Amino acid sequence: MGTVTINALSKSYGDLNVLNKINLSIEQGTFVTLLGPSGCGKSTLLRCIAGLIEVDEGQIMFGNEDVTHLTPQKRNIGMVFQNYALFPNLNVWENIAFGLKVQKLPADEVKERTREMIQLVALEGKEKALPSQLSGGQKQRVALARALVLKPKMLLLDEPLSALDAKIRKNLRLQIREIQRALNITTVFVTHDQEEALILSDEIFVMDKGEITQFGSAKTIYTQPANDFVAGFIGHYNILNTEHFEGFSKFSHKEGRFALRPEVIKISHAPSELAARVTAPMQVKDIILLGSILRYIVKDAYTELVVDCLYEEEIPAFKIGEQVFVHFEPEKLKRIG
Amino acid sequence: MKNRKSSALIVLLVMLYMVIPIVFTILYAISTKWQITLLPEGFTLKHFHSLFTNLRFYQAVGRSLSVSIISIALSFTLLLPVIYMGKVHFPWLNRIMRFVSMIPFAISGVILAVGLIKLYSSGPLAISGTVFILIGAYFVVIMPFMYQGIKTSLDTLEVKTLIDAAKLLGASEWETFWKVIFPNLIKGVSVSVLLSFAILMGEFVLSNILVGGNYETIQVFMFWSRGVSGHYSSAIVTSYFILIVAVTALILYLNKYDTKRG
Repeated sequence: MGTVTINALSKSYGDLNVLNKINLSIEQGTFVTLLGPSGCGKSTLLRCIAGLIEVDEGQIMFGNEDVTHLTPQKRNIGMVFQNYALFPNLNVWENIAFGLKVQKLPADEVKERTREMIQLVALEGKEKALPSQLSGGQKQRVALARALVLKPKMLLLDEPLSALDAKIRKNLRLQIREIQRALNITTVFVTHDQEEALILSDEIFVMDKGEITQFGSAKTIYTQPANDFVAGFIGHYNILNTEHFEGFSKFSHKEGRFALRPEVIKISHAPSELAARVTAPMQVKDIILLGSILRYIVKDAYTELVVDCLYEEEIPAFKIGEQVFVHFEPEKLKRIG
Repeated sequence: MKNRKSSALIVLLVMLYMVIPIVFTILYAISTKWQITLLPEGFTLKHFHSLFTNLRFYQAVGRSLSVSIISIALSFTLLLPVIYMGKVHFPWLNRIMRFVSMIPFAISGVILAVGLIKLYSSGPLAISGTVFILIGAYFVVIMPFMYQGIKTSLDTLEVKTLIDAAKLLGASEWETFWKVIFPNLIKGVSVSVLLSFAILMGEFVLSNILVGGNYETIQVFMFWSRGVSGHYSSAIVTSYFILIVAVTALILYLNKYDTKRG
């Protein structure tokens, strides 16, 4: 199919501008994620690509083919929905074979391709089960097999893991990634979960208010947020203005806004021994245990910071109310405005 | 424990309240004479024999079944596309349908019958006194139940997502409707069909006023037979009751079989 290109795509509902001149390009065989909060337009964009929503303006190209006004039936796209959208009256086998039967393929081919897909998603033995007899994870695997059986040019995943519990979600996302790599299929994944986006994606498009606010690899998005929104959405970045650094020594910037990752900040009982580090005396306001991470909230008269430390010792090294020193390398400070 | 006992007692009382008239009707249908004694003086099947050898009875049952099935089929066939289109493409249509479907509750049978006779006794569509006017009237009577059954079934189906999924698998809207939406509606609608069937089989006012002897239904036949004997009437009621139970059981069995499929 080649590259998927979207040029100046817009979509409105009445006065509400849901997508505002979206431009993006997706390379063949890559796994990209549309990441953003609810209502940012990511699902609408996905449905425009699928042909389920008519666009107001703009163009969608699959390679050299303009598909902007093609019906969904003619786009050869596979899609997995958040709520599975399995046909309740059909069993696992019939659900997966549905698209092949609609295309009136020979019975032998239908049988062979359906069997292959059932193996791919590891649902052998469940062929006769109705959707109501399956768990959430199994349902989503059937939906994935049903979407892939037609050998689509592109796979669209609309928050497919949101309705699942944490353990199944983790297993299934790895399974999705393995299948995507094995089939080398261009995949667009929609999610509001930054962790999922970072784990799965070759490239992430961060969306806000109907626009793509930043795109790039997971590493770029995480380490170099382009603005307040990305910094706030992608991690627990500390967003700071110059005046918040009043209490810090060796802070040399004059004006601007900065993003500082919680894990690059260190805490110690004594001032940093490394003279080059930006340092400030602060007080521990709160301690939150996040599994392997211990999150400290520290403050001084000018600001409040989130600091993430690896939870190595059973008893936290610092107590609430204790006076500590926080310090970080100056280059870890990312200017975002 | 005390709560469970009192609940069981209430259920038992309700069951007795409903079952006693049926049991005594059946007893009366098979009794020789039951006037001044506590229990029947003797038992006989002669009333059933004379009922089951009466061609008029079978014709009446056949007419009632036909008119009920045709009315329900017509209602389902006409309402389903309208409600489906309202759900999928034109939401304003369902607002109108909701209002229209409530109207039959506000009009009593006698008023409806008189109005229909007045309207259809002359003019280009003079169907008064024929079975067609009865089918039309029955269509109106069962509309609230059929509308609600179809609407609720569609609402629980997430129709739009299913249509989207089917489209992406290459299915046309027609294929989607027949292969995905329609089979999933049957189960939900069957309760409305049952309810409508029971109402129409037991309907007397409209059939008596609108068609009467021209198209004698089971209820009109039962009305006529009250002059023959009470035992004979009871035999008709018993047969009618068994028929309704059999049809209900059949539909429920088919639904259960469908659920267990696979």
